[in-house]
Amino acid sequence: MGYLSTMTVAPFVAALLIMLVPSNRPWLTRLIALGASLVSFAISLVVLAGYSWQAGGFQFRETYQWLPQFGVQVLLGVDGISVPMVFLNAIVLLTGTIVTFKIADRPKEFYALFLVSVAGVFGVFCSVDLFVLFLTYDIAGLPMYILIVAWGSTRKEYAAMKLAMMHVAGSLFVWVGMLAIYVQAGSKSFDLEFLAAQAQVLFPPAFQQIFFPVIFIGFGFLAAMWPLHTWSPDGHGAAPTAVSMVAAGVLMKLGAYGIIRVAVWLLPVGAQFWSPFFVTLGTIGAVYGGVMALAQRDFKFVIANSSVSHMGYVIVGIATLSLAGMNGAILQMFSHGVMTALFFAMVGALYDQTHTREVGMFGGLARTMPWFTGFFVIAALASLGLPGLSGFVAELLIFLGAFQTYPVVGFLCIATVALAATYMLRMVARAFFGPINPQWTHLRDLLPAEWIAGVLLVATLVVVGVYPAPFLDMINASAAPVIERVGGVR
Amino acid sequence: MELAWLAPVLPAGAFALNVLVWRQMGQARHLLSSLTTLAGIGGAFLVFLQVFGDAQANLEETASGPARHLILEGLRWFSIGSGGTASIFAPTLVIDWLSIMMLGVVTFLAFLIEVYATGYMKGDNRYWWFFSVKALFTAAMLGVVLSYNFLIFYISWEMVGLCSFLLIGFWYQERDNAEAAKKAFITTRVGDVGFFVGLALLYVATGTFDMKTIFDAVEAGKVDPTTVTAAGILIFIGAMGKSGQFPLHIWLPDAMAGPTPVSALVHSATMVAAGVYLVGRAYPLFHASETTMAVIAAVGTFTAIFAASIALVQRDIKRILAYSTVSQLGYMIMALGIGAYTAGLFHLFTHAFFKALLFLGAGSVIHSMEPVLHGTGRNPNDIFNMGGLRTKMPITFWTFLIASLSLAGIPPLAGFWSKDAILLGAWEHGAYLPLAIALLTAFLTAFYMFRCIYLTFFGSPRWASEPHASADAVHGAHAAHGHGHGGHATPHESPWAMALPLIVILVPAIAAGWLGMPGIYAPFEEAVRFGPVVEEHLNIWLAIAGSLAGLLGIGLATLMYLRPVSGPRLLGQAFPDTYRVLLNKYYFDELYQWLIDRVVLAIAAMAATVDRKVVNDTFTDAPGPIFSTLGDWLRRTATGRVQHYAVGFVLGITVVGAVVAGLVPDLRITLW
Repeated sequence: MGYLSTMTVAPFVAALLIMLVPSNRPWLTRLIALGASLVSFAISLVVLAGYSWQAGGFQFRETYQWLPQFGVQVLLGVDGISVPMVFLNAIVLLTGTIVTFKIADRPKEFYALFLVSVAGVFGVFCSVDLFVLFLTYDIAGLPMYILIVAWGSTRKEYAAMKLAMMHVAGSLFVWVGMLAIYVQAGSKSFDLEFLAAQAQVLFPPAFQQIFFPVIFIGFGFLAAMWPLHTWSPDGHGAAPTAVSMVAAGVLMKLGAYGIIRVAVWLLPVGAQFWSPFFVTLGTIGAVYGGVMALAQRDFKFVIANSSVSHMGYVIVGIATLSLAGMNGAILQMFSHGVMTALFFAMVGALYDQTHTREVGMFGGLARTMPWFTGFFVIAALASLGLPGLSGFVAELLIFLGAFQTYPVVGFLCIATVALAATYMLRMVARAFFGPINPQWTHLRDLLPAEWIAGVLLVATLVVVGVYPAPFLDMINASAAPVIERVGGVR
Repeated sequence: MELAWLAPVLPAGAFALNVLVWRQMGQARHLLSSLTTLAGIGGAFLVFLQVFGDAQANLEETASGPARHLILEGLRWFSIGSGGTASIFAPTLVIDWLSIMMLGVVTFLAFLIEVYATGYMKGDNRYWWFFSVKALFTAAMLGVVLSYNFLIFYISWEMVGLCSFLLIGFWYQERDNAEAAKKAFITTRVGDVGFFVGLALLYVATGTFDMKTIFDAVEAGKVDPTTVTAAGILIFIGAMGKSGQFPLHIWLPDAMAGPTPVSALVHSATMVAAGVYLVGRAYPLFHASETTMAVIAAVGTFTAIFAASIALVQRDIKRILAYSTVSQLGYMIMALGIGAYTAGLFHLFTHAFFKALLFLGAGSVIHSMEPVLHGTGRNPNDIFNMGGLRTKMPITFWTFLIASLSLAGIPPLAGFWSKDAILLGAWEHGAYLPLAIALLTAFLTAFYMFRCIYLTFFGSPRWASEPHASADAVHGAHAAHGHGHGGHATPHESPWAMALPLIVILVPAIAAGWLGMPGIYAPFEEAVRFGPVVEEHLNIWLAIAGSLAGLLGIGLATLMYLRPVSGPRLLGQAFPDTYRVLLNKYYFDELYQWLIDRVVLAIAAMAATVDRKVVNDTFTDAPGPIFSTLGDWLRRTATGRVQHYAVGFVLGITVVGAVVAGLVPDLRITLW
């Protein structure tokens, strides 16, 4: 087994093992989950360090035959776009596992489902085969339903059902698009690299123009693209901490990743044709999410709507088909993932003690919970695009890409940053500053597990924000060929 | 000079050390942090001295052509694209007399104000955090000063804003302070949207953020004039936000919620001057468009008089100084806008010293008033609660007085020379309306400063008992309501850690102007200039007019406030409406609050409702009922009669058979 297969399978194996552990040994469950996430995390670091951007292309390749008569293979490999995503997933897996140590309700079942979902995510990011990509895409999404229904809060049945239905609806579109590609290519191959190389021959412009939006919209569901975003606030609001971290931190990126990897890469002519349309949707999402976040009263709803806004930037960055925009979009996917994982880890730490997330119920938490406040504020600053944290460079590049292609969009996106400052600081100032609400004087600061998770995530935000070159070199190495294919602005 | 990059790096290192290491050191962290910060900033000051000395000897030779600067290329930060078409983002630093001047001002004042803060902040339980943020602030500010790349400039600019946010909200337990911090950050962020859009326009036009490349392109006419104007105005909006120019001035007076050493360094001498500095730094861009220059001049002129008028009636000593700062920044912006480049920056230079001194003096007063008024519920910042402090706090009094005279533009103090340079510049550029307004502002400035001095240091002490005169207040509604008979302490001079910096800063507050005496000794004009050296001559009539405006203001204040307090009360009663409008700062806070509450938040709430009711409940949830209805219908096909099923079975077999037999064409889409 190679690096990528081990990384992907480790959480899955751990899930199976956890099933075998008796329920009265929760610590063993935790140990297994931690072990698997450490293995995956370590491998993701190896991949991160070992990927050579000078060489470019897919590396760490592995090939396994599966259903040769249909051309289905397990082709694994990562390029500069997927390496940051793999690392993101690994860090969310690790921190999500750690902060979940405290759950008392059926930890065994929780970890099993959680690990299966995360294994699915690794599968998507590591597949160079369209069929396996799609299969793991669904494996990643579906456990969310049970996780939210069983361990969630507030309107959990509704939220879980909505997330599941919208995920399935998206899959339907993707499925149609994927089969169309398979049939159209007619060469019995799901090999993405092969399909991409032959795209010009295989996919006539009219075909691309019809199926590009089908695939884009299909993945757009999970990417929370406006107006397909409505699962996000309810879903995050209802989900337990670690699930919110994965859902907002990683699942949304699956959507955006699919858009780049399948829609834009395989159907460049379609991408050119539809660029204005999706730039418009992305811009609406960015502004709309920002405005919505301003009206929210619940921590998780503010963050979820801000995620809609930030994913709007990602859609804009991709759809402008500019080099800067694409680089920025991919970095933004990474940065937003880390930032939201941090947000939700912190909100979870608070909610476990207070059982309310109403921003207005709090005040002066900085006094009693300094570490919590520090981490949360850093996440908020990352969210409003403060330089020195990873979001800034990503947004900068997206905005430049937008300005090169659609200046009005660039202007609207930048104006949204001022909105972000407003909704984030309103929340921070209300809940953490001011006089202490006597109701909450007993709150404890972060548990060691939460603290470790916070430090890991903050460190990632700072390191990438201060010195983004290694990340961007990698991203650029794989984004540039994609943009070259579509003839985008360099 | 090549070592200049150390100047921001040293305080940044101090910050990192404080936060990562000293924080863990229990109580020792307070002492360690303050010492580390002082060392970091002191080191930056030494770097300044080295650069300054080196530049005097070498700047002319090392520089090529008339630019007279040295550019330090930084390492690659990140890049996109590859090969020849790559866009590389790298920090670039510039050493010219403008940046050297600011480097000196920032490090000198930051160091002394940190010394002052060791006394002022004593006993605060987040002492270490105060010094840590101040170190980060200094680093970011020096980044602003030295960068020669718009992106790095913008990043430092944002970091400065973050530090300002943290410092204004330093005593965050008070709701008002947290609100003030938030307001400051968001208001400047609004300006920064303009800044950023301007930068993006320039980037699209030139493909770089490098200032030199951009300025050269603008000068060579390679950039479309509309873009130059638009980018110039947009970038200037960023400067307006940071420098508190109308209509983005509202955050600066509220920012006085921060500890006084913060007000002195961040909100008077350095950060708020960054907007002026930006105008000076990017002058080739602004100067290339007459429209931009006109906008700059108009905004500056209006702000100068507007803020001065508000300062006339304020009661909080720090707010008086804050409005004064806004007004003086307007003065500088005005000068730059009408083309008096050197004069505007010269005023930035002198103003930094005497205004910092005034703030430190105010802090010294408040520091001694706090124990006196403790427990009485009276505001220690309110000048109507002071009086007679002259004999109690002689060092504070004399330094405050001299700094005020300097601000009022009385010769031969620093403020006189820089104000005179601005008046002269306005005269020479034919800007007569700005000139008139500048003179009027000078009069108002002298008036409000001496109103402040008389009420604070002269007259009978009002801190000892209930205020017997509610003075300016029309209805007395705002008069403080005391509960006791004053505190138990009496005001006293501040400790040496606080008094000594006052005395040291007094020197440049008096003498900084002597570097720019036209026709006598004016090295400043030769060093910091835009274009060729112009031999200036003192215009005696303007000098007299300027001094007279100041003296008249002082005279009027003396008449009205030296013997309280019939004059002001008459004034308030004679013009009650004007008075109320001024006291309420022209109701701009209320206007913005209304806009935010009734417009922005209302739109947000409406959007949220639409999102829930329409997008979610109508569209997203719609498939639910549709499918259950469909299901109801389909259920009727399950009739339970075998005949019906048999029909369906046969039909199905037929279709599948047809496909298998090849009767239906290939599934591949062959239409195109």
